[in-house]
Amino acid sequence: MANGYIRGDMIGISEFPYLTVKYNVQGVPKIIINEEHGIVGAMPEIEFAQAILKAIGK
Amino acid sequence: MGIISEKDREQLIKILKSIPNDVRIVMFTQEFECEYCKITRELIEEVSGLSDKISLEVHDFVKEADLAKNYGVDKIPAFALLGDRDYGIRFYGAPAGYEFSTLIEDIIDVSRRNPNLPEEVLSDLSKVDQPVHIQVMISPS
Repeated sequence: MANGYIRGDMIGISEFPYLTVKYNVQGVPKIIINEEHGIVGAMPEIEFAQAILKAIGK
Repeated sequence: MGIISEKDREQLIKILKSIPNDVRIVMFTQEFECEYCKITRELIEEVSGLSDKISLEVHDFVKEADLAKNYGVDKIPAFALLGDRDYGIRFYGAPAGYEFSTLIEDIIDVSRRNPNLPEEVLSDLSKVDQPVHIQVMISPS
């Protein structure tokens, strides 16, 4: 919502077990940014914002 | 007997009573629904009944493949939460248990047209100048 470039999917792992294999999900929440940057566990909003910037090389 | 208990329903109606703007839920399922598709549809049908400001459209993922593609929906059950524009919010699967609160919070944020984030976080996010696709893998418990 904060930026039009950003979209977010909430994905239930029970419904899509093949994605848990694809993204190697061993615990939840697991966050995947642009298909490649994986983060396990919840984190403060500011750290997450910084992880997004890091993922796009900023 | 609905999925949402009568007690929760009454509480949710109170919480959602003050949401200021319309929220549109656009759902994709299919004619012969998978078990999770049916649960998800029934759950969000009940959610859309909690407030006059929440509307629901149910579409067929197979017959309306182009529409699904426009919404970037590539699997079902899926639904989008839309305000006066598409904020890119999608739910895949039934948001049960703990994730149900996430859905209600998102509906409130979309209705307010405000992501409800601290200033410093908004400032960081304003630097994003290329597409970012966040996928959060979750389980109800």
